[in-house]
Amino acid sequence: MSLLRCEAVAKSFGGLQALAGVQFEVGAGEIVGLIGPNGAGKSTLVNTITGVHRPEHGSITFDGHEVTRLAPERITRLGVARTFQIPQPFHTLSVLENVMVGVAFGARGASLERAAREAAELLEFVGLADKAHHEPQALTIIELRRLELARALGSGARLLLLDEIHAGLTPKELEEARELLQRLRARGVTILMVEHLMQIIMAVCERIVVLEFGRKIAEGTPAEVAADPEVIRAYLGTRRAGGARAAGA
Amino acid sequence: MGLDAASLLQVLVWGLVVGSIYVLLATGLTLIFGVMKLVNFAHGELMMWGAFLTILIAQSTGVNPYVAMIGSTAAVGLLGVAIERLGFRPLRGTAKINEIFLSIALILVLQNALARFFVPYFRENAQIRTPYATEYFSLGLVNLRYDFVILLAVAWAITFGLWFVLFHTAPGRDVRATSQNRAAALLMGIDVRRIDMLCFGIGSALAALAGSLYGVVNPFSPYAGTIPAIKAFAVIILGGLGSVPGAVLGGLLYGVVESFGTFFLGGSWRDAIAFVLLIVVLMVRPQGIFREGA
Amino acid sequence: MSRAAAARVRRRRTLPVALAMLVAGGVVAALVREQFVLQVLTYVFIFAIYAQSWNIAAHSGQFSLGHATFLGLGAYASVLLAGRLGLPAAVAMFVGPLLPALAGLAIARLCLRLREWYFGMVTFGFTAIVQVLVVEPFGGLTNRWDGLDAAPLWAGGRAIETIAILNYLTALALMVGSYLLAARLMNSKSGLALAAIHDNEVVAAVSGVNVRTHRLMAMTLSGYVAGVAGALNSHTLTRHISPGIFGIEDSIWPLLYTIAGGLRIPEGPILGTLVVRVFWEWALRALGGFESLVVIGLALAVIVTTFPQGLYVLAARAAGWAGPRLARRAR
Ligand SMILES: Nc1ncnc2c1ncn2[C@@H]1O[C@H](COP(=O)(O)OP(=O)(O)OP(=O)(O)O)[C@@H](O)[C@H]1O
Ligand SMILES: [Mg+2]
Repeated sequence: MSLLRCEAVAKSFGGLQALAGVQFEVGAGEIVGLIGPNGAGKSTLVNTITGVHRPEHGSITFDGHEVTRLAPERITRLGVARTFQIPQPFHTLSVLENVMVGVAFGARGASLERAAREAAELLEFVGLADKAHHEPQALTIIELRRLELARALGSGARLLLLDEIHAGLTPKELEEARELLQRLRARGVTILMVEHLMQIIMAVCERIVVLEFGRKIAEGTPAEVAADPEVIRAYLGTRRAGGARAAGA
Repeated sequence: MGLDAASLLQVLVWGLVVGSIYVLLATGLTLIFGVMKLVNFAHGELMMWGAFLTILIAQSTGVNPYVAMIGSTAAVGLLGVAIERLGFRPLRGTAKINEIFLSIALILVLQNALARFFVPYFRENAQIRTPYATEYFSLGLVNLRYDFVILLAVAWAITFGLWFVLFHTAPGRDVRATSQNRAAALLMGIDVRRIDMLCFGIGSALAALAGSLYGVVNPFSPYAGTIPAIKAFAVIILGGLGSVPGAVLGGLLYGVVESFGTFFLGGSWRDAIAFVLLIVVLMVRPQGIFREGA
Repeated sequence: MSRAAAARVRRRRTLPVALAMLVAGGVVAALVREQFVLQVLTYVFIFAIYAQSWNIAAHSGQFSLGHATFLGLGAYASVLLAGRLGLPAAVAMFVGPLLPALAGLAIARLCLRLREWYFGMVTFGFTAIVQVLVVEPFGGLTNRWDGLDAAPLWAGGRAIETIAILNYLTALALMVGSYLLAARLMNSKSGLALAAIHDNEVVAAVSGVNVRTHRLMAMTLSGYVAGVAGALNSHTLTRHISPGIFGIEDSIWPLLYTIAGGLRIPEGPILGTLVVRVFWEWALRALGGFESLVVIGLALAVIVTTFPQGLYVLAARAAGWAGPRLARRAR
């Protein structure tokens, strides 16, 4: 059964067609990768699914609910959560309070006291427990991404949309991140992850969707996608070609 | 008041005169906003300082007020540079509301410092007396005051001069670059802090000139500048924050609309017209008519 | 004490602070016999309520530059209810402010998509528009530019001194009430939502916060509290209202008082109003009218350029009990 279904989703900015009829599904419990060259429309797709942007055409359903024109908070409360490609913490709140916002107002709608407890647990889970009462300004970029993750998890997500949370990690950190993803899956969270790093995509995703210029150009298992001539062509003229080839080899 | 062509034409001329003053105010504000992304709400106080200094210089030296304006404009320009250096620069990078706070504190300082000298001298209102105050051109339907003609000539000469500097010289290019993307301008080796100072100085000088011209056609008090400057700010929001063409077009258009609006609706409405317009436009386009920084 | 513990202590401290303010205010009332001092303090209490209302809106990131709309509408509604319908001033004072609450709701609704300068200018603009509405279409009711006399809150053959004390105590009690309201709100779950909206509306929304209702709620409440301050002011201190209330001055004072004291901190508006106003009264006597305002302006400029977090955080630092949460808020 599919948890998320996008049908013919189109979104444009002025004259620029950022999404031109994208169609795909994510099944419950899956980890799906969303890849594509810079500007392919990956973040726009995440924004559209979460209600930050409204698509001009197409429909998006989550768990049987039509969410295409819902306000972002309604979609979140249904159980969709996301991180932002550029971490955007609430800068006048503490790290703990950042996560509390998600817990208090997300799908579970906890009281402030419960939110504080659960937020502390989530910080433990992502490895930020010792920073709970720091201000976000004091965090490194990698810690900020983990904070994004904790806030998103806090809102009670059944579907988690991760927008490039692994960029710039060292091999050791990547290994930790991969473990974290496995633990998430063990919690029963479905994940759609945007990523440029083929290494992690190949390692954790069951299925990959490839976007280019706002269109889906390929979909399949990691092995299928890596061998797809369209994908190789799309990646060749770009900076990331090396990564794609290396991973496919 | 009949609805005859002559009075309508008179209203139009007044609209152009007032509009030209708004153009100077709005251009100064938008120049500052473009590079520094801040609004000095005390712009109107700088304006009245300009008018006051013009009278002071003209009376103490006996020169023509239009010549005295050169001195008052330069003096207020320097005052602007000092305000930027000592006040706004230390606030760079803190919350926006701090800049609003500072500019409001500056209203208190500049307005009351002016009143301190002004009130014993003029009591409530003053006006800049030019040698042409009672001379008129006859243009068929309307009589045009000499001062109106001079005012329009001065305002538009300065506006076009500024336009030329901005779009056809190297310093102008640096200002536009800083306005479009401060970080990139810094990387290109532009001294953005000097640009800040320059723009704040020029913006303040333009306010002083606007004030002096205002003082030629209106009686004024130390408190007369606040509302026109805030309306000029409404104009630059409508024209697109940071956009000089937007400020020029917007200021002129607004002057005419206000003039006709006041004529048809009555004087009480004069100040409200700008904001009704602003609200209606922002409801439709929350980012103004032109985009920010255009 | 760890930083976490400090943050928790800050959360619990509202009731003792409220009591301390009541006691201190009461002691002053018992000791001071000078009319003038009582009057200045009454002004401080009333404008602290008004500044607190601005602070509530600011907590959600809605920085109004036209709060005089609410102050004025509250005053007019209350004075008219008391004058035309004969309602006791003590009742009108709380019923009348429903009008500015409604205005707050309407303005917030219209400005939902606006922030920063755009929000500030539109709220400012409404003050100019409301002024014209009060003078022109409703001129018959409001007596145009001449304004209306306000019924006294405390009357009935009491001595002037007694009335002054009663006014003072009423204002003190209402100020403490507005403090508790703001403090409770900021420390509540809704307060967390408002702070999140202040920081980033998009992230707040995708975290499940209903940005719209929270923004509307904050401005409605703010409008009501500002209205109470306006009504209280006209029934006690000024005893008269005129359209001049919808001027720039009355819109900028709450902003200056709050930021000087500490933005988005419930104690901020109170401390700011007290310090600025008392300093001003002193300067007025020592220096004269224009000079005192110049000095106030300069002092405020110095505060913001050297210590943008405001006097409360400065004092708390000096006393050694500023939690990290406090310092963050006031940024
Ligand atoms: N808010 C916006 N306004 C205008 N154009 C936008 C906006 N958001 C995205 N775009 C444009 O839409 C296109 C797709 O952008 P998007 O951010 O979705 O790409 P992406 O696949 O996430 O790229 P990257 O790998 O660099 O993150 C780009 O051309 C981008 O410039
Ligand atoms: Mg992206």
